[in-house]
Order: sequence, then C-alpha cells, then structure tokens
Amino acid sequence: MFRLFLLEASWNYEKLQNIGFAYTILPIAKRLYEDFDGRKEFMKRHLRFFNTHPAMASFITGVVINLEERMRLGEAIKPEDIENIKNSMMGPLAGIGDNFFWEYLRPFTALVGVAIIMLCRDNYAMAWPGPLVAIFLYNTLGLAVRYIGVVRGYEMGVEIVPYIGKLNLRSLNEKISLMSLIILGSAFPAIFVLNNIHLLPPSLPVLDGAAKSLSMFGLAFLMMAGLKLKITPTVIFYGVIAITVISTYIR
Amino acid sequence: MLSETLAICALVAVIGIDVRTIGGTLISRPLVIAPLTGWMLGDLKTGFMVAYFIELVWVGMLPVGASLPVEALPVTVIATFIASHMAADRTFSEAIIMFAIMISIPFGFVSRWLESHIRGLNSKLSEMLEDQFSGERLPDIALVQYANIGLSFAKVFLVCFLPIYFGYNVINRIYGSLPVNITEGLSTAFYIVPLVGIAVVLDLFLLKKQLLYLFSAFCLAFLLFFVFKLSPFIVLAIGVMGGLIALKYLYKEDTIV
Repeated sequence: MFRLFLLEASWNYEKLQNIGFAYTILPIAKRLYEDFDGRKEFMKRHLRFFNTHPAMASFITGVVINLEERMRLGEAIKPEDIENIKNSMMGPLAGIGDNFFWEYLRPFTALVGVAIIMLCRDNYAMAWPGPLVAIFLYNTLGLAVRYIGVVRGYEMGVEIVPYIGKLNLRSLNEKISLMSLIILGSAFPAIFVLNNIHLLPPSLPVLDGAAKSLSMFGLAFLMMAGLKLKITPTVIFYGVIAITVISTYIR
Repeated sequence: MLSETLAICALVAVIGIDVRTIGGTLISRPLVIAPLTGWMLGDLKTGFMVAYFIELVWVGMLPVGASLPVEALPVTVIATFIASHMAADRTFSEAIIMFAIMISIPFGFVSRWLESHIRGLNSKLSEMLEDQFSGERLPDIALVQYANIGLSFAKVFLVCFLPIYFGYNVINRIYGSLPVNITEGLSTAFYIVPLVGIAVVLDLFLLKKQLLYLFSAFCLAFLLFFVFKLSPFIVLAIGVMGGLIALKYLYKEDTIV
C-alpha cells in the first residue's frame, strides 16, 4: 500500500500513470509468479494506459490483486477481463476522487488552516495549529480511503463496483462546502481588520471597523465575479497591487 | 548565507517530491512550507504571513488530467526567504512581504514549464520500458520511479536555489530604490490581497442555495465581534458549532455509504 503514494511519480503524457501503477503492483508479480515469463506477462499487462485519482487507485489495486490471484489459482478469468475491469473503474473513480479530494477537501482544509493563522496574527507563535490541523484533516481521510480501498477492493473483488456507485459523495461535498462557507463567514469580520485605512473618522473605531469589514466583504464578491469571468487569480493578484500603487499617486 | 540557502532548498526539495510524486499529502502546500522555511530562518512571522497569502490563491487550480497548475512551492520558498532577509536588513514593513511575493510568482511558472518537460521525458521512458520486453531482462520499473523522484528533487532544488542565491542582492537593491509611493501602495495591498484567496474559495464553494448560510454566519459573527467584542476564536467556535447543528438538521436523511 505504501507504494500507492508513488503512483504519480512517473506521470507521462502518453499513458499517464502506467509506470506508477506497475510499480505499485510489482510485489504481487513476484509473489504470484516464480518464472521469468509469468512475471514478464504480468508486467506487460499492467504497463498499459492508467489514469485515475491517486487515492482512489487503491480500490483498483485491491480488485486487480484479487483477480490476479484468482486467475493464478486457476479460475476462469482471462487477462482481458482484468484489463476491462481496470478500464471501467478508472474513469468514475477519477471523477469521484478529483471532485472530492481536490475540489472540496483540499480547499476546505486550506481554508481552516489559513483562518487559524490569520486569527493568530497578533502572536504568530500561536499559529502552529493552523497547518497541523490542515495536514491532519486531509491525511487521515486520504490514508483511510487508501486503506479501505485496497482492503475492500481485495475482499470484494468485482463486487466493489456497485458499492462505489452507492457512495453518496454529493451530499458529503455539500456538507463540506456549507461548513467552509460558515467558517469563512464567521472568521471574516475578525480577519479583515485594516489598520492603516480609515473609511470613517478614527474617533469612531467600532463603526469604522464595521464599515471596512462590510466593504471588504463586498470586494470579495466582486473578485469572485472576476473569477467567474475566467480571469485567473494571478491576474487579479497583480491587478490589486497595481490599483493600490496607482491610487497612492492619485491621492 | 550559502549554507543556510542550501539547507533550506534541500529540505524543501525533499518535501517537494510530495507535490506530484507522493500524490499530495498537503505537506508541500504553502500553508506548511512557508512557516517551516520561516522557522528555519528564525522568522516565523514572515513565514505565516506568506503562508496565508499564497495558500488560497491557487487552491482552485487542480492538477486534473493533463492540466498543470502553477507550482506554489517555489513561489512560497523564494518569497519567504527574500522577505525575511529583507526584513532583517531594514525595519519591517508590510510592503516587503508584498514585494517578495510579487517577485516570486514568475518562478511558479518556470517550475511548471520544467514539470511539463519532465513529463515529456517520462513518455519516452515509458516507451523504453515497453521495448525492453523483447529483451532478456525484465524492465526495471522501480528504477524509473526512483529516477523520477531524483528528477523532482533536482527541479525544486534548482528553481529555489538559483533565484535566491544569485538574485537576492539584486532584488534587495531594487526594493531599496523603490519610491515611497510604491511601497505605500504595496502596504495597502498587503491588507487587500488576501481577499483574492477568499474569493477563490467562494468561487469554488458557493452554491446559490447556501448563500443564505454564508450571509447569516457573516452577520452573526459581525454582531458578536463588533458589538459584543468577543474574541475572534470564540466567534469562530460559535460559527463551527452552528454549522454542525445546521448540518445535522439539513442532511438528516443522507448517509455517506
């Protein structure tokens, strides 16, 4: 299972993760086949096109090990069947994995970490929990999926396909996004306390702070509109800097 | 400065193997790398600042299929290093952080360009492995994997080391010669730019039907923070608890499996 972490090491444009997958499954070849030709055929089979999400590949690995073993033990399974099953699982799993891990879990953990750091900005020595919480959240889930994937895939074999189909990730994704929005909303007023800009006279610190917070909230929506128009974050980043620099010359 | 730079670049390059090779455990994200670099330089403050600036900006760019995101790792390391050294040379100003990040971003693109070439090379390696089947020996799949880990190490190391070691003095002098207006503008940008990251998160997550929750969380936190003057952590804790309760009632019927 440890080898699964190296799945994307030799990523290439033609067959994507083929080398990585062959590497993952290499010990199985050594265990199942003593002879040279058997191992060679085995490697050849698993060096074909392969592409899915790194964590979700664990399910495929489990299933492939199961099938390879059964084939070796003399059950009526053809190498083409294994190939077909691999191919049919790759796409849906990649969809699920990319969507859940990269579009939801990673931004969520990043947001939690960043929120903690930004709230600690008076005393950065206290900010360590930020990165730690993020790593912990992401990796416990990632490891759990890898472990469950290999074990369940191996135990259930082809039966795993309907099991994956039943996973209700849509609702999980919605939960994550709802939680992120709530964390964002509740941390926002405290995060954007601007010290050197005043919208209202400094004699009214509370109202001034509130006005700045509200206007920043509006500005975030404006930037989001920019992102929706396919302007890249990098451009917006430099754009903001350009505007603030130019504004100092206008004043 | 040489030994310090070497040590940091080597450590970061080891962690950098994680970016693509280990499939992302998040330890290569700016959130972790920036405080780590800062800690090694004895300047945690800068590290954490760079972390929250860079982390969210590119979190939306996904390494899905053949598309490559801008690599945030070299940007983070270079920015943290330059910023903390510049801050040590003169009095701290927010403008230093902004300037360091501005200068570092292009190296993220350099790194991406290198990565695409490494992948091109991998296609050739893959072909080579398949050709070997005709020979007497079994193809050495593990060796190719290890070679790639080495390549990935070398890539991160060079992209971080060269600009820091040869570019730092130039960058430092450029900053020193900036007119006051520009540094003032950069200081203002320091407070506004984190919004770009927030906007990226909003862009990723915001569903129409959840807009209401965002606004109610914001308004509640706004009240608690500005009117009742509660500590931000208590406000956040109240928010998280409210969120959990909302989840429980909204998705009562749904199960994950």
